[in-house]
Amino acid sequence: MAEPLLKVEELTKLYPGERKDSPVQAVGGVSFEVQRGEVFSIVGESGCGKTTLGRCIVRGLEASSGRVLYTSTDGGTVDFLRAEKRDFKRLRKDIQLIFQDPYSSLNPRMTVFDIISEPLKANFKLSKQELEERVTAIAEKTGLNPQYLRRYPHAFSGGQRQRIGIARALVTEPQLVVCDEAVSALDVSIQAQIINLLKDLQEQLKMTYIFISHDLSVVEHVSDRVAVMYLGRIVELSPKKELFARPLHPYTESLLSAAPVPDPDGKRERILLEGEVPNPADPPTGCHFHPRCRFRTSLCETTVPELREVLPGRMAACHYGEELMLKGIDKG
Amino acid sequence: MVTQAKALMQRFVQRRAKKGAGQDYATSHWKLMYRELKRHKLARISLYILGFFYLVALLGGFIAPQGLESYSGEYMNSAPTKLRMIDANGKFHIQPFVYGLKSERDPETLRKRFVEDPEQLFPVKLFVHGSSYSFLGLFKTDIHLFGVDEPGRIFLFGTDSMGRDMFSRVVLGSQVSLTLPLVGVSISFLLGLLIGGISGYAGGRVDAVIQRFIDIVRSFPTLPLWMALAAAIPPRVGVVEMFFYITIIMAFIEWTGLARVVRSKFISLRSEDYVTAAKIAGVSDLRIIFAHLVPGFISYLVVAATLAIPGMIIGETAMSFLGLGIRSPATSWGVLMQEAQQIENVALYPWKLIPLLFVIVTVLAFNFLGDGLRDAADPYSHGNGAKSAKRKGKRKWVSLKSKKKQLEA
Repeated sequence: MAEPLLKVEELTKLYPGERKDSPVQAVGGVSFEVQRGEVFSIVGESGCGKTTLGRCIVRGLEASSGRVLYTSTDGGTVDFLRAEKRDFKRLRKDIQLIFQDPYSSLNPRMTVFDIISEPLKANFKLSKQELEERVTAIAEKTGLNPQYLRRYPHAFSGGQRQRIGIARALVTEPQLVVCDEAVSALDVSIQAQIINLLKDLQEQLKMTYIFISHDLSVVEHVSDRVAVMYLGRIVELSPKKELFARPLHPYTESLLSAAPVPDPDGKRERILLEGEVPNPADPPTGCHFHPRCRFRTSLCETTVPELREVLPGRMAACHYGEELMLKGIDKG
Repeated sequence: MVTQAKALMQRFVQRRAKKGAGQDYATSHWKLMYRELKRHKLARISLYILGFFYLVALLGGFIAPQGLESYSGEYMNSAPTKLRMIDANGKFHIQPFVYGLKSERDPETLRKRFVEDPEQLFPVKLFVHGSSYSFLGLFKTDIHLFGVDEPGRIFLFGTDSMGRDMFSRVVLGSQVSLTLPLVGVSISFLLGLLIGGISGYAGGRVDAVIQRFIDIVRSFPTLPLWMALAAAIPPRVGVVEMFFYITIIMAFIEWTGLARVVRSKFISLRSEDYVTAAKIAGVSDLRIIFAHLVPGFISYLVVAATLAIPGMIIGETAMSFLGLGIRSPATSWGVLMQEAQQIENVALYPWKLIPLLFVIVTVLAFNFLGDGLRDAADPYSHGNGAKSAKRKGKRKWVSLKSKKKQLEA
């Protein structure tokens, strides 16, 4: 296999907790690889650390420890989190983020043109005309009328604003784009438009996506591989089809069972989890999921399961990954 | 007539088209703010009043009939002179005039008082020669806006116990009372922006130290502090130096409020998504501060500064009233009020309280202006912008229709 575009190793983000000696582990030692050209999805419920993980990768937040090895187009591999100033300046534009909230992510006091051109101004030395051309080009690609570029964000709808956010992220032609819940603030019809736009742009610009979402139907639609997060850790990482057909981790199973089915007659067994998500400042011993797991044994309470290859190409962090026959979503 | 109306209509439609509905979306924040402000009636009126006051202060020497040093010993505590157009015989004069004054004793109280002498009639003239002054600091002249020929006198607001014209003193006093707060607020604006910015941007220990220091400064009781600081000023200093000492004393207390505003805005804006977005896009720290953070709160700061001005005016007045500020013969509204502090003045010579009126009007005007600015600076209130623009458009249509009717009739 070719060198992965991005290799995340043991990425950890700690927040100071109530007491000094017990920090909250928002992301706890996450490792995965992203291949060039794929759509890598990260799913999980609210508060599981997926947004923090995404922000750490693009360095919107500083990770506490770990490495993010990025292989640029010229073949060199650099730790993006600790890159030297010069390297970082050069690579910064390769990894971009699309924000969840199309309202707070656009400066209300700047025109759309200024917003989209800002990354260009920061990373390249372009003449006024070149700037104009590139902004117009990306605006057209993202379905924005170039005539409206002199307006302020308040004049646009949510869907249009998200297109502006996408245009800003893509104007520097990045290699990797982290889409942090890029469509969840939009209504469903607009979601479909934006997802199709993202897919089209991916093909045109040969980009790689890390797609962060809690919406399984969206994830199923766009991804190649899916990582499931629970309490700051990846519990399962599989190619999309296999994951949806037969999950290997009990948490994935319950997550899938919670996804709505479009068929009104379709009846499924809902797996309702007991209890609440544990406090990340005081996580359970052993497997983090064991207090809510149907299959827990004494082993789960004491030993932390490693994320290991359970089936070829499929990773899960469960002691019984091979034995459990868990239910996925049948495609009638 | 009909064609004329048509042409008018056409021109109107063209103008609307040129302005274009879309243009509204491309208006900058400052333009929107200005438009909002214009719509705020009280703020607009306040702006006109303040503009007028500052104009008068600027042209003070020209408008005041007397200079700071002039006094007329024989006209002490004279009531305001009445401007008249009709004389005792019922004859109408185009040019306003005043009667001469003659002093007499009140038969009951034996108090000296001034009554008008209908025998003497002095028309009020424009551009008369009087005491010399320096016009805008450019050249010396002795031409005053209005006055009467000797031996006539014109005291629009009466005179004080030394026979000085109160109107002149109010006008000349406004030069100090209206500019001192502006200079003071500018100084505290700079201090606040700098120290508040450092506090908000650095955070952590630096922030904590600065904030505790601000707490200490703010917890000083202002009156004793003023007295202590004023005592530190050498007793014989020039008017200009005194002015700056007072300004610095005022600014020393005032900057803390502005620093707090700046700090809180820095902190709240620093965690905005669009600031993170700029950071991810590779924009430098300095550019983030000046392109994203400062424009985000500068309008609030302008509002805060405007609202800080009345406090400074009151402060200067209070200091001068206590005899700590500007000293005679230089004058300010506070000095004038100090001179009016005896009860006999309030009872017998109420015109000596006129400066108080000016303080009140100015403070209110600044407060209303600040209110208007605050409403205008709030980006969430601009949502109604389109609506009211429509309303305006409608009104135009109505007037156009009536115009058309007029033309046809």
